[in-house]
Amino acid sequence: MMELPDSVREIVLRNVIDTAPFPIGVYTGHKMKIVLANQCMIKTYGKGPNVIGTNYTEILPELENQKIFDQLREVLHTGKPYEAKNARVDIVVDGVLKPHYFNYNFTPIFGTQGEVYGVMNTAAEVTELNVARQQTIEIEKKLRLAIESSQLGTFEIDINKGIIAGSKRFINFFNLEKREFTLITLVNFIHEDDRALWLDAIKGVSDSGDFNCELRMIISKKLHWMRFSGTLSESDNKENTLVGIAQDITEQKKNAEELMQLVEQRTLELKRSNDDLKQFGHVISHDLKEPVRKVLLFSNILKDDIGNGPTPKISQYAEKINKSAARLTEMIDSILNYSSAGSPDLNEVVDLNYIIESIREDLEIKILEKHAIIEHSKFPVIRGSKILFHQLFYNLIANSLKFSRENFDSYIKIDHSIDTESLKIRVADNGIGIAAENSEKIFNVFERLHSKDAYEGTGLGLALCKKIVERHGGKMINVESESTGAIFEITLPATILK
Amino acid sequence: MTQKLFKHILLADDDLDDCEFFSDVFKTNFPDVKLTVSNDGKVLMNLLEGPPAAQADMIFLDLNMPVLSGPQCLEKIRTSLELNKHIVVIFSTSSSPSDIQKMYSLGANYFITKPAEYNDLSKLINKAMSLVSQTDIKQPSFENFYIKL
Repeated sequence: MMELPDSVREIVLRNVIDTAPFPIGVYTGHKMKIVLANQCMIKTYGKGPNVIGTNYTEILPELENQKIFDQLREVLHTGKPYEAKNARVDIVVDGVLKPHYFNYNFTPIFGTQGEVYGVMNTAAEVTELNVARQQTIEIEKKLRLAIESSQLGTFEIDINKGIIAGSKRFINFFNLEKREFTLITLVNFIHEDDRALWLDAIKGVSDSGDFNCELRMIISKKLHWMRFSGTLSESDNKENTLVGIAQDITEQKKNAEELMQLVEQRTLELKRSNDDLKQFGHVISHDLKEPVRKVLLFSNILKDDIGNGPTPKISQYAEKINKSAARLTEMIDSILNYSSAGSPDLNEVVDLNYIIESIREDLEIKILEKHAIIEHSKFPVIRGSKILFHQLFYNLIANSLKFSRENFDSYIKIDHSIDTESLKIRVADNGIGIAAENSEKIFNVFERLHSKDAYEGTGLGLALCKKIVERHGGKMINVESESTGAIFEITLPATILK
Repeated sequence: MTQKLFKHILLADDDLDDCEFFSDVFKTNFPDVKLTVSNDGKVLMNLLEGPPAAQADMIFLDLNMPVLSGPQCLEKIRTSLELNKHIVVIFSTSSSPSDIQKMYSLGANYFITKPAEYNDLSKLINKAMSLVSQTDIKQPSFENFYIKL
């Protein structure tokens, strides 16, 4: 300080101390009487303006158990300065006890004899800094937890040097040992077709500052889906460094794919039931309407004729009405069968041998009539719907009997073969057969190849058979026969075998 | 207006009862016109494609028939240079708008729904014959396509 007249010097010093933007206080004696405290210190005490001349220990009783008085007395006693960094001091300010953080010093002031006259207390409050630090620690803790629980790997890429450093989990993704490796090492894991995606994503960083890509990677010969996302670091000492997270999303991808397949399957089922509905409309407008109209037609004639006296045709008309009504009933039954084939239990134990035998009993009269012989191989037990398999073979056998050749004994052969993928069942007969051009048409609902007066039937039989086979995951086709007769080939997946 | 003279009419229907009624009505109303009945579409086409090529003035065509269905026959007739001048009247159980629309677009001349009354059949056939004698091969507007009593 420049040499100043004492009076001026005193005022300047007093002003400097009083207006200094950090707390300054001087305490003397064992009771630590406050002999000096600047504005800032008075504010820090938080006990009002009239503190000069009071004892430090009295106005700040809350410090009693915080070792501060001991530190002060130690300085008074020994004359050695005390320094605290970032120390927590709980002070009552405006009646509320709150933690504060200070860097503070207790500096001894010596008298003319070299004795310790008092202690100067200077402090810098660092509470805000501390709160911020604690928040940072808290945030980091949460972040760690998030990263840990979502099984994320973190990484940093030094784009200039082409080096990547990863967290333990990150390097574990790739079964690597070292935390740092070259980008080329990483790129080599990427599926060839996806490497362009990686390069594009890296290029994109310079435009948007963000990094995002989903890639297939081959790790230990296994395909993994990985998602990378990151952003350019904003730290001053990390120029052109990409920080980010990586996640193995193989499972998610698999689930999404399965979901997609499920949606497709459901859509297919919906479409199928929609088609059925359309066909049902067709059935109503053509096939069901026909016998109803016949009943009306003949009963009208009958009514008119009877009014005109007895008619020889009465029984003939009654017969026709009867036939139409029977046909209507039969069609309604088969439509119900067809529509209920939609959701049966497909997991029953089915013995086809037993089913064929019971059908043989059901059709006994027809079989005798046609002198039919039915042969079948010994079938393994399968899983499926009993009632549906009964319907399937019933329709096929009844069809063979119906479409037998005149003056020939009917012969029906049912055999099978098994390979790793499928169970193939062939139903062959020696009947009138099916022309090649009709081999697909026959499976349409209500498709009749013959006029119904020549061969009775609803036109639903084979459509139902095909639907039953498809419900069991199989295919049914009509194969051209080398000799006469019809052959149906049913291919069921091998999973149907118990 | 010159009235068309009918000499030969074809009916294709697999329903034997309907064929019988139709024949009954037809012979009573048009005793001088020849009627030939086919019980499926294939027989009808064989008849039309000949030989000997049967020159028919008009064809009554059922929709639901085995072997070749009504729509298939109509398509063949309309795409054949030799046959496409034939007048085709649909004679079906159906009264569904989609069937009527479809047959109109396939080029049929008229559409009749088989009635449940003997007398109605007579009226419908008469109406069809008289309409055709006026419009001949020309397809009417869609409003007049479906013949009602």
